[in-house]
Amino acid sequence: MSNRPDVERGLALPRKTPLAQGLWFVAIVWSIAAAFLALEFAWPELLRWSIGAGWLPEEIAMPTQERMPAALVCRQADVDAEQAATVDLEDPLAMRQVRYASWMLGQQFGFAAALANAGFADAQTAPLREDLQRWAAMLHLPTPAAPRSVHVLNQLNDFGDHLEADPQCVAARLTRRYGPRYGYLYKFGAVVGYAVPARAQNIGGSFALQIQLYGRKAGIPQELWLPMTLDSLADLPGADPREKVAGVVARLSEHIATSE
Amino acid sequence: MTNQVPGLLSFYFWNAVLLTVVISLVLLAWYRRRVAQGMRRMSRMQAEGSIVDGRTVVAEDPAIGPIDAVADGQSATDMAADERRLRTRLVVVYAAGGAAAAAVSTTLYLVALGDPLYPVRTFALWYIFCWPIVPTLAALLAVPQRRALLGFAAYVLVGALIVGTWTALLRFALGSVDADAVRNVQSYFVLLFLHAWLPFLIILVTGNRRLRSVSPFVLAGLLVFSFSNLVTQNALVAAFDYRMFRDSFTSFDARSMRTLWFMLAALPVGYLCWRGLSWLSRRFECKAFSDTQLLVDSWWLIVAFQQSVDFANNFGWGGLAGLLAFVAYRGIVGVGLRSWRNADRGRGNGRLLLLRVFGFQRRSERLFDIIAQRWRLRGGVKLIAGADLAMRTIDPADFIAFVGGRMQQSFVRSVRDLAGRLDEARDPDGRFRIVKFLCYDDTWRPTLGALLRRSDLVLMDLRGFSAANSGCEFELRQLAVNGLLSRTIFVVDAATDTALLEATVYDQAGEASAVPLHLERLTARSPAGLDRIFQRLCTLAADPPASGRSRPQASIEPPLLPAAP
Repeated sequence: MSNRPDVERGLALPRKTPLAQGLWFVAIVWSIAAAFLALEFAWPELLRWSIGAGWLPEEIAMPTQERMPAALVCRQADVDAEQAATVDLEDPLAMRQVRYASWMLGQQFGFAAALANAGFADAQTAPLREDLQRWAAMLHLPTPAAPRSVHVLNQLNDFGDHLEADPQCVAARLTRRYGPRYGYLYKFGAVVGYAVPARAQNIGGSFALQIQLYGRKAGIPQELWLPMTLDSLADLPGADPREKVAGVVARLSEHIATSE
Repeated sequence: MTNQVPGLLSFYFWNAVLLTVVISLVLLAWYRRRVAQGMRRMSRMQAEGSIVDGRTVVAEDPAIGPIDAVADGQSATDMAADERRLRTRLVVVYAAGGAAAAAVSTTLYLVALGDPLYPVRTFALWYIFCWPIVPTLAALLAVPQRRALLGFAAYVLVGALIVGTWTALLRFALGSVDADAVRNVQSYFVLLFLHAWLPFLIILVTGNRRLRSVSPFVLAGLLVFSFSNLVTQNALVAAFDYRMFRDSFTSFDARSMRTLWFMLAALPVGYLCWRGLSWLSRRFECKAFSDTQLLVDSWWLIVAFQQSVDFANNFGWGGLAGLLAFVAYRGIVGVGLRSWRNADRGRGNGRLLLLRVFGFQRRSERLFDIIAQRWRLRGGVKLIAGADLAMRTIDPADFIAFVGGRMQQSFVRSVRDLAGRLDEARDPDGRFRIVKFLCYDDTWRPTLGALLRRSDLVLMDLRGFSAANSGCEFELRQLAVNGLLSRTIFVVDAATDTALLEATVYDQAGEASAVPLHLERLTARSPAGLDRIFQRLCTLAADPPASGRSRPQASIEPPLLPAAP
């Protein structure tokens, strides 16, 4: 047996056989890889935590129109050239209808897009699309069309970007005609609608940041939208996730339909 | 849809930089520990009882060289002129390389702006992109950090002065009413800050003397690793477009799947990194570049990458064209150094051996930083490695040997080991290398004997020397035996037992051949004192012994070294 001193092994320890050498290599490589993964997961968590604690604005982690191709972004000049409003802004009933329609338009749009991305056939989502057209027509807006994603795994991000880019100027028109709250209400409805199928399957957390930002800017009370940003719906009333998430959406709809 | 390229590039790049600092610190601490362990052990050869008894291998082996190996003397003027020439060469070549890189970055920036060319703005941009030239030259010329920072401040102020004066001239001499000197100077400062603050901070950290020996090397490996992570992530995204792939991974959540995928992909990527680093190490060993060149190259890469991230805001992935600045810099430097060759006058009388009382890390590092690093333009520096200087002297070849579990190759165990390490040639940048000898407890004495025979000057740090330092006593006797007392500067302080020092050397040399010792008193933190020692070394180097060095009178402990296995 060799009495070679320990130091001759350098950094390595059990390096007598090719198998041991291979294991040593794997250990080093995976240690470094684990460090990279830890950073990769830690930074977004840190960002989320900082935003949640109010140390950073939500916008810092949101897509912005400035970073998108100009052809895919709503042209504000076109919107500004249009007629300002189609209803009497002083009429509370009319404005409540507009508010509810904005929310429903967004929610139906998000829900339909999520189902389409999940692989539902056109025939299965046809009733949803008809509803969507009805809400759009009621608001004198084009029917929102979902983005086409190049990669399946990017569908969620692409939808978020699409909403912010607003290529059909749906949110921009609502903002122009009725005020910023209405544009945000449409976007809020869209992200909530998109998140619903996943939440019903007990998969949490999608669009948490957008729900928080749009909900706040649309004037929705925090206790109503907060459950949609949590990882789990366990504390909510309801027999199963489907029932729980349906309850959240119903409470949101009721608030929007009845509040001033 | 969103242009995520700047964010992605930044994210993966800065993760690599952050991990470089952490991994470098861990590796250096580990390496230092291993060196300390090795110094306390016996060599394998002795353990197996294979010493060639009675053979004075070191002294006579042709691979090590003759005993009287003192070179023909160069005059003080020659040495100083040589050093000046080398410094000028480095300044000109690296400044030209930096200027070329800045020209590329300026061009890309102006293309991104899409505005017409304005002379003041173009110059200001170019000047701003030239800023890394200052830390580059400071590292290459071994300028102390405080002086380098002052130099950087001067560079910034000169730029502001030029921009302000030029703008004022345009306004008052040529009547350009749009020219506003104050606003232009303000814009200059803002732009410089925006472009330079982050890479400057990284350069400050990676240029830290403790980290700089391994940080460029670690950064190179981690950059490959980090961006491979980005590539594998994109590959995963593409793979999920296929139902067959999706269906195979339905039981994993997104994070687990990502982790599994990355860990699997890390193995071939890690192997590629290892091969790449081994290649770099071989290139270093065959003197394709020096350690300092590697360091400053890594800085330019960091700067070029940071600019690429900025350009990616306008050009998407095309922003990576910012890396062309690095290509331009490296190309110009390579061509410049090759075409402006050193008028090599050989190694001269500049071979310096550094000896010291072990165990005083901070002050040994300081002496090493101020004197040994500066000395490299005049001659090679050799030293017997110890834990105190381990973090300063590790080089890319040591790094690869250490991580690869072949650290025994770095320790001196045989004549062949020793001969292979006696590196006395210049690097492409004209600097000599600092060659350290990692020794086992039973090989440092013979190694010392061999090194004394290949040294023209000795700097011995005897601060704190006392009867407890038996190793130093041995070294002192060897200095006397090898007739090097007149070529040695002894650094002492109040704690040095000078009576013991004199008794040891004169006892060995004999009263008849006694020469006055060059003693230099040094307080704890004395830049002026270190500077004085450096100047005294220069004087001593330019004043060769009248008739060569005398042969050893007697060998008190014959310098035995086992033959190569």
